[in-house]
Amino acid sequence: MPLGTFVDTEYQEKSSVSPSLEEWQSDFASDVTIHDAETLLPIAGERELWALPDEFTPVTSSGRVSANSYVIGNFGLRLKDKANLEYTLLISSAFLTNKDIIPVHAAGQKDWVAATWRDPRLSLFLNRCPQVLSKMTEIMKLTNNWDSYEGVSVSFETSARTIAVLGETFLMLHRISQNLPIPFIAPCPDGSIQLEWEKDQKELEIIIPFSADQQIRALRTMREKEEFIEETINSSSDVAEYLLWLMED
Amino acid sequence: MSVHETKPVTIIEISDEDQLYRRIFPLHIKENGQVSSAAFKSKDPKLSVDVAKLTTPKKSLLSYPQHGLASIIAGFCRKLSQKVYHDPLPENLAHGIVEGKKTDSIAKKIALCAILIIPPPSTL
Repeated sequence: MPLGTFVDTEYQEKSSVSPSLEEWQSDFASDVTIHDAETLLPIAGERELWALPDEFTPVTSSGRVSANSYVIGNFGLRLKDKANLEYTLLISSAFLTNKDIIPVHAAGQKDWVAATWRDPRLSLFLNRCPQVLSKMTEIMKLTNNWDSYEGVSVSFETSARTIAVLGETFLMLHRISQNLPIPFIAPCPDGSIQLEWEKDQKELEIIIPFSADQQIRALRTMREKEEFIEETINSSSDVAEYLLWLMED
Repeated sequence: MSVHETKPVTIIEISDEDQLYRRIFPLHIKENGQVSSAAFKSKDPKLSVDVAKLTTPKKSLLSYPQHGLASIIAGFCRKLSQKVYHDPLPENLAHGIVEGKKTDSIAKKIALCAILIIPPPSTL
């Protein structure tokens, strides 16, 4: 991901005095603990997730996070290059995806919240289908035994994969001038997510499993014929095809 | 019987016509009032239910004010290769089990025949 693709950059010449903590806090929302970048990225491998050029060194970062939603507002990152010139990357909002996860700790929060860079593929989808994010937010609030039958909570990773599948499907349909019908989204007791659509006598279920090692499953139901077809699917393009099947007359 | 002995619990036979109650979480109710098949999936092959003739809808929901209640028929589950039996628990003598692999299509078939007898008080 090129740095300038979807973030605004602000160039700042190195000053003789390093930015103070107060200066950092006045730049962004103040309810976040400032961490040294070395704490956030203890191993070199993780830095690759940031897609940073090798010559950049993360200095510190800050932003507003919420344990109840996985939208990160005003997330900023200060970088310093080999010439000690500092850059500020300002991300106006970031959405969870299953890639490029940046751990951030918010002051007063008990858990680490994972945020990501803004993915432009998801931006359009989430702007057009905000109900999806709000439903996923509700589902992610569920705690163990939410269903009264020891159902487990849905993990961040499963939610991120669900949004990624829907976002990619949305774009595929968008390219052929089709709209993504808004699915009914349900948590499953094993931590999976189930997406459901129906039209006339046809129904489609897409099950995003709780484990990334398992394949996404599809169930097509034709009520008149009493037919139930189970399949595993390999990619979001399969989901788009199933949706086209559902929507055809 | 001494104070330390407990009265043995009778395991009752569940006939094909018997109703089984399943608590339904609000997020499993679709806009058209149907119950999602997700409500009939479980982490393992054993799906917990209450045997209707041993309880009441109100008792099944007693500690779960947010939930609704659906009814399914034991014989229908047996036709889907599920075992249905009474499995009383100390805290719930009406407890039963629908045991068998719950493929997506089996859970869907159960959901299509489920009747929502008490909707959840509100959706989340």
